[in-house]
Amino acid sequence: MKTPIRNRLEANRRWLEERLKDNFDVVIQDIEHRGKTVAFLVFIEGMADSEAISDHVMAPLLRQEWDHISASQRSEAGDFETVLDAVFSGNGAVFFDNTDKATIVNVRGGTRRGVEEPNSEAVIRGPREGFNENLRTNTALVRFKIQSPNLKMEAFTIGKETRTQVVLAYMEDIIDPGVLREVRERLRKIEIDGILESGYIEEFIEDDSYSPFPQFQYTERPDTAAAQLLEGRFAIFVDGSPFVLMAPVTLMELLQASEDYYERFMIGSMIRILRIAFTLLALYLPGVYVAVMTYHQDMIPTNLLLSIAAAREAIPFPTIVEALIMEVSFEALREASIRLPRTIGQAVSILGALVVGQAAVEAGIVSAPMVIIVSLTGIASFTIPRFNLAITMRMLRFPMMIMAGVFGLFGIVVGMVLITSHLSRLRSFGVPYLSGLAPASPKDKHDLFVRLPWKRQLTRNHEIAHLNRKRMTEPGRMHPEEGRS
Amino acid sequence: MRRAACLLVAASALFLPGCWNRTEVNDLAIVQLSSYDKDGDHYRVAVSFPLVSQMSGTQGGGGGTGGKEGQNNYVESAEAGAIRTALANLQRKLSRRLYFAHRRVMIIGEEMAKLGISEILDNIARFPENRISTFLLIAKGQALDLMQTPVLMERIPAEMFREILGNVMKKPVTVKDIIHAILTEGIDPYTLAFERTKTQTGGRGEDTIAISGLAVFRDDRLVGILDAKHTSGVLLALDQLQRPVFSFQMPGGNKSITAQFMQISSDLEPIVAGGDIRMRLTFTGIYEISTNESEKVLTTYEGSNRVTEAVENQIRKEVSAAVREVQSLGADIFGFGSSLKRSHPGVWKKIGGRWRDLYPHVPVEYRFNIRLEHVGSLNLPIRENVNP
Repeated sequence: MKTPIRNRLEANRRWLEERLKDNFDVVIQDIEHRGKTVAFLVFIEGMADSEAISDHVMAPLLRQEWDHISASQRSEAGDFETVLDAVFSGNGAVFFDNTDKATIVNVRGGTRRGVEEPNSEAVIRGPREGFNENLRTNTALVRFKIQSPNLKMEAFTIGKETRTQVVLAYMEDIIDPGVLREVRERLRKIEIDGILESGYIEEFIEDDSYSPFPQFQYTERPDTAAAQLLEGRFAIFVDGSPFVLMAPVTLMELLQASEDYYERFMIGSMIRILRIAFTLLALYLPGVYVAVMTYHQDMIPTNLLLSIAAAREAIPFPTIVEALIMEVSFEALREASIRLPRTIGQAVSILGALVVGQAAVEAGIVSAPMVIIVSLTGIASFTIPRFNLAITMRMLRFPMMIMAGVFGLFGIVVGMVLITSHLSRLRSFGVPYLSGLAPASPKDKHDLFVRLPWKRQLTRNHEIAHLNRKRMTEPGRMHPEEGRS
Repeated sequence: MRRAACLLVAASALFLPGCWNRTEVNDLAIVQLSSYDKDGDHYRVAVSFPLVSQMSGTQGGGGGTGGKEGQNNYVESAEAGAIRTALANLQRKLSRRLYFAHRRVMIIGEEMAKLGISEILDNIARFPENRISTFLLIAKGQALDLMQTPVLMERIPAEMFREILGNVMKKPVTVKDIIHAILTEGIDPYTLAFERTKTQTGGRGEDTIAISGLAVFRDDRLVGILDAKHTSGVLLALDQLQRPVFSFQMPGGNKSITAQFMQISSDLEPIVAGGDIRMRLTFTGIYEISTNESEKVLTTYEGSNRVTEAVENQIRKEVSAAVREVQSLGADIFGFGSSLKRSHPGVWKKIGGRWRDLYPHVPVEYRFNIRLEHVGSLNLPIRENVNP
């Protein structure tokens, strides 16, 4: 239902004033010429750039040079709804007398956070810039990385009230068109009043909302986003969020960090193997400890068992209760320290280390080996490069601990089977979640547990970029002798 | 709703059946050492386990943790007409469940071993918590007495036995080895025997344990404990001796020379020629000279050959005396019979039934394949340089 713009300036102004009343930040500015109002300008203070308005809109208008307004971008609108959309996204609209069209001028501005180093994904080696809340900045940051017309960016507007701009980016020549069709379809189906974070989009379009495992990767880093686009994945930018969503995703993919690719391959591979081992520890270690200490004492080397037994001698709780108490308090400690300002956060970690660690052991409420297990598990979960996967592992270790407490190692095996069967059923946009492992693809082995040198990575991931796998032609051999002169 | 009900039923299956056989470590008596004796028609079973609360563990504070000997170990015994009953009686006196999975050493008293050990072995092999990788040894005298010997050197007495066994033998004898030897035709079990002695510090000695000799079995009965001299000879023939040392005098001289083997192994090969059966033991190894006051030049071909020949003679002398001693006991601990059965099954079929009679008279010949590798940092004996 569109309301057409009238011919008469007065009527247009009255309509707008009625629609926009009680909005202190809406500015309607009349332009007078020889004592007569010839035009008026609508914009929102704070969202529009006041300098651009005065230089590129007001000045030409006052000089009667209609054609010179907003040299950069302008368009015409024939109805009020389009005008309102434009105004509320930070543009200005100029209404002229005796015209049934309004001119939309791009004067978007307003203050937003600049490009800063990403908080959640720090690297030692690699670019330091991170996405911010401005959609245009974010898309441009990726454009700077991939300067090719093959990088497509489609815009969607989602959210009945928030009218949030969402951009779907992909490499036209690499992405699977089926995946592309599917994601477009899923994005169009979203109907909600507001999108405030990319997490909303993620939950709307993911394959299985009831799975504990994340089916999107998100990043604050333009280089990560660009790398994923080049692998044949799509990226979703949401205005107002510094996090960019990427899919299809696989489990092994979530265990990779951008530095795996920036450091030399041996270092990258070693760290990756370490990370995979610690991911398993984060999931299973407390459970295995509980199972072994309460059912399978015969599996521990004698001297270790005696040491643990000595430490456990005065502990009032069964091992499983001890483990649950410690793991829950660790989670609480972690949660508490995230919410606090950085200065107080340190106090919390001191309290945690002192109270939960030392004092509890000295008071004989928990045993020292349990504290070691809990802290090792905590460290292990922090080695997972993706926060969303780390939290999944932390969550799943509680059922594993209970299974271990009830059934011992048998319970752990049952838990493993359940998790593995769920993982092998899970798909992200048609790509098996475990791909690389199951279905095993020997052709992708160059970037799975280890990362081979770039010279050997001739193909992209076969499961995702299956239509355009070639990454490079085989580089020729180098001749070390010829480098000298 | 249905789904929720199903989940509830499934979840309660975790907790309701009450099939928790959970045991916390602080409810276990982690047995390290156990002993079996026989007094008349009664069995006496004893266990020794560390009192974990007394062990210097978590509280690192302060020195002077030395403590008195025997403080952190608990020994208890019980008697009954059968081993199982004795164990049950024993358990009745303890607040913690006896847990045998970490038992490292079991000791059988001399008297009991002479009557046969298969009843104990049956008891052990039937119950998986008893590890058949436990070391088994014989006590000269009462096993309980040996077990109660205070050990100052290690935190746990079992550790002392285990480490000594490991120092002397290449592969200390386990329950599994003994069962294997009893069940296999043509081979008899052996293990080390320990005794309680005093430390030789001059004047009053503290109680301690020491190897008394090799316990030789015929079937499951102890038939004798060899003395120290023969023990090392037999262990050498069994390919069980760790780094043996031989000190002797060179022929024609009266000054001693010591050969220390860095590695030595023995190989048994039955030889059937005509109707004669003999056994050939081949020793392969490398040794170094650790003292030398006799031979002047070791670095020449002749010098080292002369020494090697003397070493071979010494080994032959010690081993053959020991082997003859074991043969006279009628116990085939070397497995002459079983190796013959494996290499010449046809011959075994004919004589296997008479093996017990034949065994003491089987001739044994010795071959050597040893070589001198180091003579030490000195070439000539120091004495040679003192007064030219």
